[in-house]
Amino acid sequence: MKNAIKNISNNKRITAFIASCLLSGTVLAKDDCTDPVTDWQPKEQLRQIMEDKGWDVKRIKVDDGCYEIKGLDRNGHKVEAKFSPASLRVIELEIKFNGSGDTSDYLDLGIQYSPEESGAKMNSKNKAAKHKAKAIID
Amino acid sequence: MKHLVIILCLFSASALSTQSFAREVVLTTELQSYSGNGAYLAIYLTNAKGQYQDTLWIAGQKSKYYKHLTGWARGSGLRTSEYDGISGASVTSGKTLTVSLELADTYIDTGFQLRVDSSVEDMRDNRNDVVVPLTSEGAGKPVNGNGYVKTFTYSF
Repeated sequence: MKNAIKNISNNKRITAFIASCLLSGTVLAKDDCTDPVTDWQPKEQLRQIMEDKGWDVKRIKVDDGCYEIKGLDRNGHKVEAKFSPASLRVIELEIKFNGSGDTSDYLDLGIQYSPEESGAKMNSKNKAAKHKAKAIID
Repeated sequence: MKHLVIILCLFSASALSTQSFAREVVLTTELQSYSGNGAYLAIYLTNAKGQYQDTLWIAGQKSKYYKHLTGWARGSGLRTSEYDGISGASVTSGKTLTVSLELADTYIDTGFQLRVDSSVEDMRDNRNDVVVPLTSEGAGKPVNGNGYVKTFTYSF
Protein backbone atom coordinates (compact mmCIF):
# COMPACT_ATOMS: atom_id res chain seq x y z
CA MET A 1 0.00 0.00 0.00
CA LYS A 2 2.83 2.36 0.93
CA ASN A 3 4.53 1.50 -2.32
CA ALA A 4 1.35 2.24 -4.21
CA ILE A 5 1.09 5.65 -2.56
CA LYS A 6 4.75 6.28 -3.31
CA ASN A 7 4.18 5.35 -6.95
CA ILE A 8 1.18 7.65 -7.19
CA SER A 9 3.18 10.47 -5.68
CA ASN A 10 6.09 9.78 -8.08
CA ASN A 11 3.69 9.75 -11.01
CA LYS A 12 2.26 13.02 -9.80
CA ARG A 13 5.74 14.50 -9.66
CA ILE A 14 6.52 13.29 -13.17
CA THR A 15 3.23 14.73 -14.43
CA ALA A 16 3.98 18.01 -12.69
CA PHE A 17 7.50 18.05 -14.14
CA ILE A 18 6.26 17.43 -17.69
CA ALA A 19 3.57 20.07 -17.26
CA SER A 20 6.06 22.60 -15.95
CA CYS A 21 8.41 21.88 -18.89
CA LEU A 22 5.59 22.47 -21.31
CA LEU A 23 4.41 25.59 -19.56
CA SER A 24 7.73 27.20 -18.74
CA GLY A 25 8.03 30.56 -20.35
CA THR A 26 4.62 30.28 -21.94
CA VAL A 27 1.15 31.27 -20.89
CA LEU A 28 -1.91 29.34 -21.95
CA ALA A 29 -5.15 30.99 -22.83
CA LYS A 30 -7.53 31.40 -19.93
CA ASP A 31 -8.93 28.29 -18.28
CA ASP A 32 -11.77 28.18 -15.78
CA CYS A 33 -9.47 26.68 -13.13
CA THR A 34 -5.84 27.60 -12.67
CA ASP A 35 -4.81 25.42 -9.74
CA PRO A 36 -1.18 24.29 -9.99
CA VAL A 37 -1.05 20.63 -11.05
CA THR A 38 1.02 19.78 -7.98
CA ASP A 39 -1.93 20.74 -5.75
CA TRP A 40 -4.55 18.66 -7.56
CA GLN A 41 -6.47 16.13 -5.49
CA PRO A 42 -7.11 12.66 -6.96
CA LYS A 43 -10.27 12.19 -9.00
CA GLU A 44 -11.21 9.26 -6.79
CA GLN A 45 -11.39 11.52 -3.76
CA LEU A 46 -13.91 13.72 -5.54
CA ARG A 47 -15.87 10.66 -6.67
CA GLN A 48 -16.00 9.40 -3.08
CA ILE A 49 -17.21 12.76 -1.72
CA MET A 50 -20.00 13.01 -4.28
CA GLU A 51 -21.02 9.36 -3.93
CA ASP A 52 -21.28 9.95 -0.18
CA LYS A 53 -23.75 12.70 -1.04
CA GLY A 54 -25.83 10.19 -2.97
CA TRP A 55 -24.68 11.06 -6.47
CA ASP A 56 -24.32 8.40 -9.11
CA VAL A 57 -21.10 9.59 -10.74
CA LYS A 58 -21.09 8.49 -14.39
CA ARG A 59 -17.94 10.24 -15.47
CA ILE A 60 -15.20 12.55 -14.21
CA LYS A 61 -13.05 14.32 -16.76
CA VAL A 62 -10.71 17.30 -16.88
CA ASP A 63 -12.08 20.26 -18.81
CA ASP A 64 -10.68 23.80 -18.92
CA GLY A 65 -8.36 22.91 -16.05
CA CYS A 66 -11.23 21.77 -13.80
CA TYR A 67 -12.71 18.43 -12.84
CA GLU A 68 -16.10 17.95 -14.47
CA ILE A 69 -18.60 15.41 -13.20
CA LYS A 70 -21.56 14.09 -15.15
CA GLY A 71 -24.06 11.92 -13.36
CA LEU A 72 -27.30 11.73 -11.42
CA ASP A 73 -27.98 13.21 -8.02
CA ARG A 74 -29.71 11.29 -5.24
CA ASN A 75 -33.12 12.28 -6.62
CA GLY A 76 -32.24 11.03 -10.08
CA HIS A 77 -31.79 14.49 -11.59
CA LYS A 78 -29.20 14.81 -14.30
CA VAL A 79 -26.28 16.92 -13.04
CA GLU A 80 -23.15 18.38 -14.51
CA ALA A 81 -20.72 20.09 -12.15
CA LYS A 82 -17.27 21.63 -12.35
CA PHE A 83 -14.90 21.52 -9.39
CA SER A 84 -11.64 23.24 -8.60
CA PRO A 85 -9.14 20.34 -8.74
CA ALA A 86 -7.12 21.55 -5.73
CA SER A 87 -9.83 22.57 -3.26
CA LEU A 88 -12.58 20.37 -4.76
CA ARG A 89 -14.94 23.31 -4.38
CA VAL A 90 -17.84 23.37 -6.80
CA ILE A 91 -17.54 26.27 -9.23
CA GLU A 92 -20.30 25.49 -11.71
CA LEU A 93 -23.42 23.37 -11.37
CA GLU A 94 -26.07 22.48 -13.92
CA ILE A 95 -29.12 20.46 -12.89
CA LYS A 96 -31.96 19.20 -15.02
CA PHE A 97 -34.97 18.82 -12.75
CA ASN A 98 -37.55 16.21 -13.69
CA GLY A 99 -40.49 18.35 -12.74
CA SER A 100 -39.89 17.82 -9.00
CA GLY A 101 -36.90 20.01 -8.25
CA ASP A 102 -35.74 21.36 -4.94
CA THR A 103 -32.66 23.57 -4.94
CA SER A 104 -32.07 23.10 -1.20
CA ASP A 105 -30.27 19.88 -2.00
CA TYR A 106 -27.50 21.82 -3.65
CA LEU A 107 -26.94 24.67 -1.25
CA ASP A 108 -24.54 22.71 0.94
CA LEU A 109 -22.11 21.93 -1.86
CA GLY A 110 -19.53 24.17 -0.23
CA ILE A 111 -16.04 23.30 0.83
CA GLN A 112 -15.38 19.61 0.86
CA TYR A 113 -11.65 19.75 1.14
CA SER A 114 -9.20 22.52 1.97
CA PRO A 115 -5.59 21.38 1.65
CA GLU A 116 -3.72 24.00 3.71
CA GLU A 117 -4.99 26.75 1.41
CA SER A 118 -3.53 24.96 -1.65
CA GLY A 119 -0.10 26.47 -1.13
CA ALA A 120 -1.68 29.65 -2.54
CA LYS A 121 0.75 29.73 -5.42
CA MET A 122 -1.21 30.39 -8.56
CA ASN A 123 0.47 30.35 -11.94
CA SER A 124 2.26 33.63 -12.38
CA LYS A 125 1.26 34.94 -15.77
CA ASN A 126 4.23 36.80 -17.13
CA LYS A 127 2.74 37.88 -20.38
CA ALA A 128 5.19 39.27 -22.86
CA ALA A 129 3.26 40.48 -25.85
CA LYS A 130 5.10 39.96 -29.12
CA HIS A 131 3.77 43.14 -30.66
CA LYS A 132 2.75 44.99 -27.48
CA ALA A 133 -0.77 44.69 -28.88
CA LYS A 134 -3.75 46.19 -27.06
CA ALA A 135 -7.39 45.54 -27.81
CA ILE A 136 -10.74 47.01 -26.88
CA ILE A 137 -14.23 45.81 -27.71
CA ASP A 138 -17.09 48.23 -27.94
CA MET B 1 36.82 61.13 -26.39
CA LYS B 2 36.68 60.80 -30.17
CA HIS B 3 35.83 57.09 -29.76
CA LEU B 4 33.07 57.93 -27.32
CA VAL B 5 31.49 60.38 -29.78
CA ILE B 6 31.66 57.81 -32.58
CA ILE B 7 30.09 55.15 -30.36
CA LEU B 8 27.32 57.53 -29.30
CA CYS B 9 26.65 58.46 -32.94
CA LEU B 10 26.46 54.79 -33.92
CA PHE B 11 24.19 54.02 -30.98
CA SER B 12 21.76 56.85 -31.72
CA ALA B 13 21.77 56.03 -35.43
CA SER B 14 20.89 52.42 -34.72
CA ALA B 15 18.19 53.48 -32.25
CA LEU B 16 16.65 55.85 -34.79
CA SER B 17 16.79 53.29 -37.56
CA THR B 18 15.02 50.70 -35.37
CA GLN B 19 12.26 53.17 -34.62
CA SER B 20 11.61 53.83 -38.27
CA PHE B 21 11.17 50.08 -38.96
CA ALA B 22 7.96 49.73 -36.97
CA ARG B 23 4.63 51.43 -37.43
CA GLU B 24 1.57 51.76 -35.23
CA VAL B 25 -1.28 49.89 -36.90
CA VAL B 26 -4.92 49.87 -35.79
CA LEU B 27 -7.11 46.94 -36.85
CA THR B 28 -10.85 47.45 -36.52
CA THR B 29 -13.17 44.47 -36.89
CA GLU B 30 -16.91 45.08 -36.75
CA LEU B 31 -19.12 42.01 -36.44
CA GLN B 32 -22.46 41.30 -38.05
CA SER B 33 -25.55 41.04 -35.90
CA TYR B 34 -26.15 37.31 -35.64
CA SER B 35 -27.86 35.08 -33.08
CA GLY B 36 -25.24 33.12 -31.24
CA ASN B 37 -22.42 33.23 -28.73
CA GLY B 38 -19.34 35.43 -28.93
CA ALA B 39 -17.15 34.90 -31.98
CA TYR B 40 -13.60 33.61 -31.82
CA LEU B 41 -11.38 35.54 -34.21
CA ALA B 42 -7.82 35.07 -35.42
CA ILE B 43 -6.22 38.09 -37.05
CA TYR B 44 -2.95 37.14 -38.71
CA LEU B 45 -0.48 37.87 -41.47
CA THR B 46 0.29 35.75 -44.48
CA ASN B 47 2.48 36.27 -47.49
CA ALA B 48 0.98 36.70 -50.96
CA LYS B 49 0.78 32.91 -51.36
CA GLY B 50 -1.31 32.66 -48.22
CA GLN B 51 1.48 31.14 -46.13
CA TYR B 52 1.24 31.99 -42.45
CA GLN B 53 3.71 34.58 -41.14
CA ASP B 54 2.60 35.91 -37.78
CA THR B 55 -0.34 36.17 -35.38
CA LEU B 56 -1.60 39.68 -34.59
CA TRP B 57 -4.51 38.97 -32.25
CA ILE B 58 -6.70 36.09 -31.07
CA ALA B 59 -10.15 36.91 -29.69
CA GLY B 60 -11.47 34.10 -27.49
CA GLN B 61 -9.99 32.79 -24.29
CA LYS B 62 -10.33 29.03 -24.41
CA SER B 63 -7.52 27.50 -26.38
CA LYS B 64 -9.44 24.27 -26.87
CA TYR B 65 -11.61 26.07 -29.43
CA TYR B 66 -8.72 27.59 -31.39
CA LYS B 67 -8.67 24.64 -33.79
CA HIS B 68 -11.89 26.02 -35.27
CA LEU B 69 -9.93 29.01 -36.58
CA THR B 70 -8.83 26.62 -39.26
CA GLY B 71 -6.53 28.63 -41.51
CA TRP B 72 -4.71 30.21 -38.63
CA ALA B 73 -4.59 26.90 -36.72
CA ARG B 74 -2.91 25.17 -39.64
CA GLY B 75 -0.38 27.98 -40.12
CA SER B 76 0.48 28.59 -36.49
CA GLY B 77 0.46 24.92 -35.55
CA LEU B 78 -1.58 26.11 -32.52
CA ARG B 79 1.70 26.75 -30.68
CA THR B 80 1.13 28.79 -27.54
CA SER B 81 4.22 30.86 -28.34
CA GLU B 82 2.29 32.20 -31.35
CA TYR B 83 -0.44 33.81 -29.25
CA ASP B 84 1.06 34.39 -25.80
CA GLY B 85 0.09 37.84 -24.56
CA ILE B 86 -1.90 38.68 -27.69
CA SER B 87 -5.24 37.06 -26.94
CA GLY B 88 -8.36 38.40 -25.27
CA ALA B 89 -12.10 38.01 -24.96
CA SER B 90 -14.34 36.76 -27.75
CA VAL B 91 -16.40 39.38 -29.57
CA THR B 92 -20.19 39.31 -29.35
CA SER B 93 -22.64 39.95 -32.13
CA GLY B 94 -22.65 43.52 -33.46
CA LYS B 95 -19.61 44.61 -31.43
CA THR B 96 -16.37 46.08 -32.71
CA LEU B 97 -12.90 44.83 -31.80
CA THR B 98 -10.12 47.42 -32.09
CA VAL B 99 -6.54 46.16 -31.86
CA SER B 100 -3.53 48.48 -31.90
CA LEU B 101 -0.06 47.12 -32.37
CA GLU B 102 3.36 47.89 -33.76
CA LEU B 103 4.11 46.23 -37.06
CA ALA B 104 7.38 46.09 -38.98
CA ASP B 105 7.42 48.28 -42.10
CA THR B 106 8.69 45.32 -44.08
CA TYR B 107 5.16 43.88 -44.06
CA ILE B 108 3.61 46.96 -45.68
CA ASP B 109 3.40 47.34 -49.48
CA THR B 110 5.41 44.17 -49.95
CA GLY B 111 2.68 41.68 -50.85
CA PHE B 112 1.70 40.57 -47.35
CA GLN B 113 -1.97 40.04 -46.47
CA LEU B 114 -4.07 40.46 -43.38
CA ARG B 115 -6.49 37.61 -42.75
CA VAL B 116 -9.29 36.99 -40.28
CA ASP B 117 -10.67 33.54 -39.47
CA SER B 118 -13.82 33.38 -37.37
CA SER B 119 -15.86 30.80 -35.52
CA VAL B 120 -18.96 30.71 -33.32
CA GLU B 121 -20.07 27.83 -31.10
CA ASP B 122 -22.56 25.52 -32.87
CA MET B 123 -22.31 27.60 -36.04
CA ARG B 124 -20.05 27.37 -39.05
CA ASP B 125 -16.33 28.13 -39.06
CA ASN B 126 -15.15 30.76 -41.52
CA ARG B 127 -11.66 30.35 -42.82
CA ASN B 128 -10.64 33.57 -44.61
CA ASP B 129 -13.58 35.59 -43.36
CA VAL B 130 -11.42 38.54 -44.44
CA VAL B 131 -8.41 38.57 -46.78
CA VAL B 132 -6.94 41.97 -47.58
CA PRO B 133 -3.53 43.05 -48.92
CA LEU B 134 -1.58 45.20 -46.46
CA THR B 135 -0.84 48.35 -48.46
CA SER B 136 -0.63 52.08 -47.79
CA GLU B 137 -3.36 52.57 -50.39
CA GLY B 138 -5.78 50.19 -48.67
CA ALA B 139 -5.38 51.83 -45.26
CA GLY B 140 -8.57 53.31 -43.85
CA LYS B 141 -10.79 51.56 -46.42
CA PRO B 142 -13.33 49.14 -44.92
CA VAL B 143 -13.47 45.66 -46.46
CA ASN B 144 -16.55 43.42 -46.16
CA GLY B 145 -16.17 40.04 -44.49
CA ASN B 146 -17.60 36.75 -45.75
CA GLY B 147 -18.76 35.39 -42.41
CA TYR B 148 -19.37 36.96 -39.02
CA VAL B 149 -17.22 39.98 -39.87
CA LYS B 150 -19.24 42.86 -41.25
CA THR B 151 -16.31 45.15 -42.01
CA PHE B 152 -12.56 45.10 -41.40
CA THR B 153 -10.40 48.21 -41.56
CA TYR B 154 -6.71 48.78 -40.92
CA SER B 155 -5.07 52.15 -40.55
CA PHE B 156 -1.57 53.47 -39.81
